[in-house]
Formats: sequence, C-alpha cells, structure tokens
Amino acid sequence: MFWSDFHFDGLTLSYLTIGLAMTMLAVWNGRKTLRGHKQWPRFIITVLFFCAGYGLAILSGGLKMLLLGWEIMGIASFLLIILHRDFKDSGVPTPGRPTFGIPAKAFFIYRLGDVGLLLAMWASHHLGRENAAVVSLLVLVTASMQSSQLPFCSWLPQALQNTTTAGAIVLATLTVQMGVFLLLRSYPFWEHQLSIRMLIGVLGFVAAAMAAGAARVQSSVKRRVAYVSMAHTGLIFIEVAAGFKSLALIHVAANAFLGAYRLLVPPALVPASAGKSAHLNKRTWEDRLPKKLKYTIYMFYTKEWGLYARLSKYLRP
Amino acid sequence: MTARNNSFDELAVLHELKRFLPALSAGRAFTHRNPLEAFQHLHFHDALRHASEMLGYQTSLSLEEYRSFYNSKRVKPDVLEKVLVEKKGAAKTFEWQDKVLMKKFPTAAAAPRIGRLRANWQKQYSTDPDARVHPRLFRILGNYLDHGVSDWSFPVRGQGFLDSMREMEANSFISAFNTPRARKMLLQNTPSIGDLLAIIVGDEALFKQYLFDQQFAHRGWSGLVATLESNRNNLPNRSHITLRELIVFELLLEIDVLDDRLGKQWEPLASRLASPPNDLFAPVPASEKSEVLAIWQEVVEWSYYEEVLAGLSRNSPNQHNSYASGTVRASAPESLCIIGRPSVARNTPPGYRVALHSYDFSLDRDGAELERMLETVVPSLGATNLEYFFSRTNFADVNAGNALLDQLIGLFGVADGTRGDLRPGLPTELTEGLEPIRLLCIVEHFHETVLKVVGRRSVGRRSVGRRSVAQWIMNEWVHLVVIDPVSRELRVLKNGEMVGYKSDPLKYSLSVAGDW
Repeated sequence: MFWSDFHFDGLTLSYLTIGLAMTMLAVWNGRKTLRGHKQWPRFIITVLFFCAGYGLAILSGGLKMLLLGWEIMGIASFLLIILHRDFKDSGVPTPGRPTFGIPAKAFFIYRLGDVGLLLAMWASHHLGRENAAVVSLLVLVTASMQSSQLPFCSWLPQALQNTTTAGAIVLATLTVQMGVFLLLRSYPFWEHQLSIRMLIGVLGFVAAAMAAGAARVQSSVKRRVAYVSMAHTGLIFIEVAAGFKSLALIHVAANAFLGAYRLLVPPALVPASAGKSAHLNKRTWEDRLPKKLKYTIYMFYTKEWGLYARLSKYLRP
Repeated sequence: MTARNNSFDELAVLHELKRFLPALSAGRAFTHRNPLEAFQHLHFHDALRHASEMLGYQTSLSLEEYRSFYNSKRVKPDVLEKVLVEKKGAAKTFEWQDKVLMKKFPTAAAAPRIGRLRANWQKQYSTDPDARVHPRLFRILGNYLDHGVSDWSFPVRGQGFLDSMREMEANSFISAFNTPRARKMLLQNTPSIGDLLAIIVGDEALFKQYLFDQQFAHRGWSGLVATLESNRNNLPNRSHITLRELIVFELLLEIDVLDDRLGKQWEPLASRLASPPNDLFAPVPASEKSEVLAIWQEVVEWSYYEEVLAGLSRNSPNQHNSYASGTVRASAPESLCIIGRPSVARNTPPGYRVALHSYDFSLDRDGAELERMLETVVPSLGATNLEYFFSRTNFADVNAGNALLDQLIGLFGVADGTRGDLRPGLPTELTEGLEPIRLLCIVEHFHETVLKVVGRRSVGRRSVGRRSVAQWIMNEWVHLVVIDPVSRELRVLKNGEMVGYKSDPLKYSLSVAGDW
C-alpha cells in the first residue's frame, strides 16, 4: 500500500464530512437506545468497521483500493442489518420467527455490486479505452445497486424496517450515498458518452418517480424514510448525469441530514380518541384525478410496483 | 359448495374472539380493560396458566427474575415461608422450598395450543400462507387506518373496510389479488365467513379454532380493529372497520395465495389432517412449574404489601406513630387503595402511593354505601393495575426481545419490525423496573359485613361491569384486606373466606430498622 493509492479532493472532503456527522449521530442514537443491551459493543465495533471501509473507499485513488473499501462496507452493512438478532436461542425455527431473507437480500445485492466492480476493473485493464462503455455500464450497475436504484430498488425499505434506528441511519444516509460517490468518482470515464449519461438520467428519473409515489402512500415511518431517500437519490442521479456535480454534492448532504432527522425525530403517536381534526381529511392533488386512474395509481404504489415481491420470491429460503 | 350443518355460529364466534383478543387502543394508551378479560371467570392463577398455555401469553415474570428478587432481598424469606405453609401445608414446606428456589425446569416452554391447526399448512402442503398474506394485509390495513403518516391517504373515504376495498377493486386496473377467484368473490357478493372457511378448511368443527389461530397470528392488528369496532370510533376520514370485515378480507387473501401456490384445485385443510388437533379450549391442568410461578407471584406481592399492612395494624386513631424507615420503593402505580377513614392511611410508610377513598363504616352498618364505593373504585383502579401488570410481563409479546426494531405505523401503533404485528400493552418505558403487583384494596369495616357485601355482589346482576367487580374480588384479581375498625385486626379474603392476617409490627419494625 502506497500513498499513491490514496487521493484527496473536494469530493472526498464532502463525503468525509457527511460520514463523520452521520456516524456521530448514529452512535449518539445508539448510545441512547442500545446501551445496556448486549448489542451495544457489537454495534460500536460494526460501526467502526463500517467507517474503516467508508474511509478506504472515499480516499481511494484507484479501483483496487475502492474495491477493498467496498467489500468492508458490504460486510459491515450486512452486520448492521442483523445486529439485533440473538443467535443463541434461535435453535428451533418457530413460525413467527423471521427468516434470513432480508439480510440475505442486502448481502446478495452487495456481492453483485462487487462483481460489477471487479468486472469493471478487469475491463479497464484489458479492454482499454475503446471499450469505456462497458466499464461505465458496469460502474453504473454497481452504483445503482448500492443506491437502491432501479432495477435493484427493493433492499433499502426492507433493510430499514428490519434494523435498529441507529443502524438505519448509517444505511439510509451513508451506504445509499456511496452509489453517487462511485458515479462522481468515475465521472471522467463516462463524461463524453452521451448514451451512458442518458441512461443514468433515465434510471434516476424512473426510480425517483417510483419511490416518490411509494413514499406518498406509506403508512410506516421507517419505510417512508427509505423511499424518500431513494427518491432523492434518483434526483441526484439526474443531476450527476447532467453534469451539475456541486449541486449533486449539496443534494447528497441535504438528503443525508434530512433522512437522519426523520429517523431520529419520529412523529408522536396520536392519543386515543384525540381530536380527529379535519387536517387528516386534507385533499391532495391526486384527488382531482379521474377515479379509475386514481385508484389504479394508488394500488400500484401500495403494491410497490410489485418489484418487491418478485425479488423476494427468489430469495426465500 | 357442500351443504353444511349449522354448527358454526358466526356471530357467537366473533363475539368470543373479541373477548379473547387483546384490547389495543390507538396510540398505545390505556384501554381500561383487563387484558385477560376472557379468563376472569377463573381464579387468578388458573387464569394465568390457561392464558399462557392456550394463547402463548407470558403472564408472569420468568423464574430467574423471581429468584433474582429473592437473592437481592427484594422479597423476604419469611414471606416465602408463610406463603408456602399456606399453600402447601407445613409438612411439605421444605420440599416445595427446594422446588421454588432451586429446581431447574426446562427453559423452552412447550409451544402453546394456538396456531397448531394452521401449522398444518406448512406440514401438509409445505406452504405458509401467512408469509405472503401478512405483508399485504398489514400494508393495506395500515394505509386504511392511517392517522396521518402518509401524504396521500386511502382514497375511498367514509365507508366500511370491505366496501372500500370492493370500490377500489371495481375501479382499478390493478388488483390487490393475484388470482381471479378471490377477486370475483369480493366483487360479486359479500361472502360469509362460513362460506370462505368451507373452501379453506372444509370441516365445520374446525372453523372456530381456525379463526382463532388466524387472528392470533396477528393479535395486535385484530385487537386494534376489535377495539375500534367496539368503541364505534370512526377513523379520521370517517371510515370504519369491523373485525368481521377484516376476517373476510384476510380469508380472501388466503384463498388468493393458496390458489397461486397450489394451483386452481386444492383440497381443504381438513381433508389432509392426520389427526384432529387438540381442543384449544380444553382446561389446562396445573403443572409443577405453574405452581412454582404462582407461589413466587404471591411472595413478591405480599412482600410488598407487608410493610403497609404492618403500619396499618399498628395504627390506631389516637396514636401518632411516625414511621422510621426511609424506604423508597419502585412502587407500581395503582397498587394500593384504602376505603376507610383518613386516619387509617396515616401510617402508610413513605414511598407508597395509596389511593384513599374516604368512607366511614359507622354510618353504613349494612354496607350499602360500601357496595357503591367498591363498584366505582375497583373497576377503574383494577383495570389500570392489571394493564400495568400484564404489560410488565410482556403478556402478548412474542418477540419481546426485539423491541429495538419498533417502527411507527400510521401514528396509531408501534409494529414489531420483523413480523409486522402491532404491539399490544403499554410502552416499556412505563413499566420498566416495576414489579408486577395486583391491586390491594383495604376496607375498614367488620369482616362479616364486607363478606356479605362481596357475596351479595357475586350473586350476579345483569350488567357485566357490576358482575366483574365481584368476580375480580372473589377470584383474587384484586386482593381484599379488611381492617377491623375496633380491634385493628386484619383479615384477607382467600378462596372466598376471610382469613386472619398476622403481621408482627414489633418484629417487623425491628427488622426494618436493622435492615436500613
């Protein structure tokens, strides 16, 4: 390992700042909720491990170092999702006990992402400049997996739902933004390829539209945070594709802080039979749509495009 | 559809189901109901045993927790001995002391009876309908009941649940179902629960048990729906929902999933059952472990009461006897109540919260006034107390260990992250560090009169609320202690009789002085 393997610039600096702030928030929240539980030391170690991976990835000067950081982050994210589990008493599977499906899904997506990166590395060595499109495509696939964008968009809501708030902060704000980091870092690769830029933009747009709709109909607070985060990341993809790098960075930071705020300050439960006021009857713009269209769209988003169920089907043990 | 004899009475089963389901109010507030209402015709400890064996409720602390109370001297050895002598007789005290303190019982309790019938889907058809029905059902229910998380609330407003879903289905290009049969059944007519169960289960004798299994697989959601129905609470958007509608919709989803998994033709569950499942409602015999737990519970409670009672029996109106010890206990709220002259409460040790209800026995020779007071005081205090009690034992929480994963749903409830069911009971912050203790009601009167009043109440009146007071007291869901106005003698109501209670104030205050 040499110093030449590392690289430091504005992009690194902004990601470093966001990372620092979010990890502090996560640990602060974990201290409140997890302290005294046996998961607390586990949590600290996992977060430190994650930070190591995160640091390596954002400071990396080449694909090799990036891949190493990526691997570490992948393992740490997986560990964060399964953090709350008690492995000692889970000898007999009971019907109510959750299966391993959801963490397995996140793990699977990460491994796919690694394969994408590896292939990109190989391609950049062997295919040379003329096949930059292949490399860019592989990078894009990895980025959209990481950021929970299309077509791998279902892991984030499930992961957030199945993890502690402290872990959710790390996943929703840092892990997801790494896809954008990858795109920004590899910007020079695909800067001059219009088709790739179009593809990134279209993917971002579709994911944003999908996630925004799903967020509008969500009644679960954590899933809503996940979808809001996904929708913003979709917009960031469009900004990156259009070349507004600084705007994208500002958006990344804003999105991270917004996500953390929503997770840390959940809304209060309504007291039973408290004034059921009229504000819940508020009409939204969707109410102006024709009935048939309105119901169709609502059902469509409630079922979350059906993507969710489809990917789960293959990962059911 | 085959002709059925009418042994399945939909209304009766629904009524019973509502009684058994845990009451759950929006926002996890107090429901002012006994969480084990369905069992309150039984004696307290029998009820705990039945609830835990039948429904898998956790109705007491764990044995380790009780023993740690003993080791940390929060419960007193002499109280343990007293309870043992009382319950098992002096001859068997030693034998039982050993069991209570030392004996190792198998930690993993046998699976409860609930859910055994539906477990056959997995065994016989190797498919688990819940895994696919629950996420869909919870999402639709969550959206329907939402109190303000989602930006775009459920588009059909002001109607019942099934009507709303039918309206959605009829006017949408995308269906909530994946196969045509269930969708058609929803759209064409409102199928009765019996019709749907005939398709899924087949054998009418099993219908009731199947419904219990199904609803208790998500007792939180069902409990919330049942509570909303019984309170006639409309949702914020003037919609409403009944338990029957929930069950019909869930059965339709189940048919949908089974059609999808097993193809169009599949035999109902009953046709492949190897042996009929055990009866869910059969009486549960007492086991050694349940007896040990009951003993521990009594010991914890009487250790707590003892100090108060010792103070009371010493107390006489002309004697001002200030209490020396400075004990402050993590006293459970609503666990002590005195019905008597204010002077009775004067010697309550510090640190105990007592609800005092002023009452003069000398103006009420026949106990008519007492009857009225018991009727108002016991139900409200008792229900709150029992809610604290069973929330502390995590009564209906299968995944209590996973409290870290709580997620807010629709501003009305907190769901368990992995299974998606709502958590019943009070939030843990309210019950942390408390000992589960029943309400102790102290009445100042002559014990014959009190027994007559309580006995009179148990003869049975029409209304349920009135009867439940006598039921609670007679079945010891609430402890009743009578303090004699003249002799200051204490008597406890046990198994329908007034038993003398001895606490030695001299010995006790000495031991307290020594301890602290």
